[in-house]
Amino acid sequence: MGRRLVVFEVMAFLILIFSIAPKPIAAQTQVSNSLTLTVYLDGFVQVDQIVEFNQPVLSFNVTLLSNTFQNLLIVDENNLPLENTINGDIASIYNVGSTKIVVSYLTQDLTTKTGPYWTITTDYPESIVLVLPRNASIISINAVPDLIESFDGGLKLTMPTGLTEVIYTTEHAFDEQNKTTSSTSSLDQWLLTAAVVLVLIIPLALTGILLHKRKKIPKPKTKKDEKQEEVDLEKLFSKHRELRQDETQVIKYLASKHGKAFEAELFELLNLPRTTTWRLIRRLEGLEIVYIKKSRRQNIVLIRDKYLKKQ
Amino acid sequence: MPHKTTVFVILLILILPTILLPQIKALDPTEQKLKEKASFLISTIQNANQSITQTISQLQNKDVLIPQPCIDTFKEAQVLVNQATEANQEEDYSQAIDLAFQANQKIKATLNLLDGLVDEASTEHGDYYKQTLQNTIDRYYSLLQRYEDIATSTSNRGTDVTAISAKLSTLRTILNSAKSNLNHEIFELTENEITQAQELIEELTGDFNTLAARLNIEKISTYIANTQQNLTALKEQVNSPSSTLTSNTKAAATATITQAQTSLDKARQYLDSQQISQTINELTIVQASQATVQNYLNPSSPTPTATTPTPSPNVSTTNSTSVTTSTVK
Repeated sequence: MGRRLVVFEVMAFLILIFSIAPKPIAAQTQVSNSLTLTVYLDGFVQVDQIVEFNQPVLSFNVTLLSNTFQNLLIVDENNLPLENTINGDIASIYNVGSTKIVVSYLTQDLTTKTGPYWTITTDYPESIVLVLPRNASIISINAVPDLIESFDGGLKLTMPTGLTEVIYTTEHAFDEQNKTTSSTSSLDQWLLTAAVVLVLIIPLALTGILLHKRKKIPKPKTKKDEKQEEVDLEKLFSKHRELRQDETQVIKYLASKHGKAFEAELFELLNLPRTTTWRLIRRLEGLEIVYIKKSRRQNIVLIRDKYLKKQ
Repeated sequence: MPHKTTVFVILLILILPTILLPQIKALDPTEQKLKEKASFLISTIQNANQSITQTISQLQNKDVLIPQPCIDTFKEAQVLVNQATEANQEEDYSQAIDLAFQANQKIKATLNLLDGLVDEASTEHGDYYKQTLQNTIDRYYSLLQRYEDIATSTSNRGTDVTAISAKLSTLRTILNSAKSNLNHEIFELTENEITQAQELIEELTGDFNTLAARLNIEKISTYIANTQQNLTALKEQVNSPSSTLTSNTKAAATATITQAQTSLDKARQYLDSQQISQTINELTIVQASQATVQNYLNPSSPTPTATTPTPSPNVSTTNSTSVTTSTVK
């Protein structure tokens, strides 16, 4: 009887241990894929995608988050650049034996702005890490992050699989979200913060407007003997149906100026903040519609030759 | 025996708590996580509440008419914000999260209704412009650091990167100057230098991609040489007098090796004319053929690619090569 009891207890003990002990790690997947989106204040997003394999591969395709990007560079596990070809938003990478690829590029296409509110949207089949600009305050979020980390005034969110849509502002800085346990702060504190923010923002905004109005905008020099170019708007607009209204306005203005104008003229034309206009011009540059030429201390925006009518 | 049983039971009593306690404690982080998530969402909707109140007030001060549906939706959002905050204070975190999400939806709807009314010009103050330029310079500095690291890795491999290093040095000088001009609030010069930096970065990106193409040709050459060795070894194995293959299997294996050899020769030709995509396609065929021959030689082998040579001199830890061209988003 005693022997049976011991056997029973030993078995019970073993069952207990096995049920509590960590389960063996499942066989590693073929591919691990991580994506980090670092959002900058001006709406640019640095995309860093790391794909790892459990054995070397010859070539690999990666779908980029946008087909308008800058500074695409792909390296392997030894930080050596990898050859690639781009077809639309697909990057075919010839990694000939590498077990890890790091794809990095910059894009403006993931963010949009309405007034003080920025929206970053992406749909990704795996969890992503989203790094928001310093002092960004989230206004709306479509899913609860799996992990919320704060660092040096910034927020790092690990978002679940699928659609991510975050609306944030960097202009009404509340500084509360980087302290995840401080949500019960009193209304008085909020009102005080709002008052301070208002007191700081209003004089700055007024100064900015006054300075902007004071500034004289020089007109570009026109040489009498210079060839007057004509922009092929039909060709341009049929090729770029994705253009926004303000972008179309800029192009039409450039066309009326024979394909070129000072950047400062465009700031005045659009009556938008310099940063917004600057972003818009950079986007047109990224779409290879315009290019920028420096003239002394002024930038001249020019329509690319391919959209100029042949004389 | 009863004595032993007693000792065993005592031991069990002593051991059990040490095993079970961490499991019990493991529940706490879940609760903690829920609390943090609720706090985060409450903080989000409170920020939204304040920001939208501020924006609406700014618009009303400028005599902009706010549509009634927008005001009504925002009021509904505010009610939900208060309810969510209360639930959070009562430590009902699940309810707080649920209400916060409902508030979130209303806030989003309010923002949609405000779209087109908000004047962008009134929201970007002078300091914001300076911050944006600073931000761009910082971004370029981090890109410069990344490019410098790649140049160092490539140089350590024995590849000449003198021209790239010179451009990187120029880029650093431009960025330092832009930073200094921005500190002195000479915005136009700063902008010009940022444009110069961007152009140089684009040039460098192109240089690195050209370098990548050169390195790739070297890698593929090594890969082809190693594959040739492997193919020869397989041929010897198939034709060895000690081989146990039946005459039919031997014939099939020999035919597969011949097919692989043809593809490998084609790959060499494509590489000579720098047609990389076609080279990779042929190597894929070679790889599949090698796997088939391996199966003939060792039908029980679970990984027929195990004897494939290391394809790249830079990959020293792997012996196997899987020829996969798949896509990941």
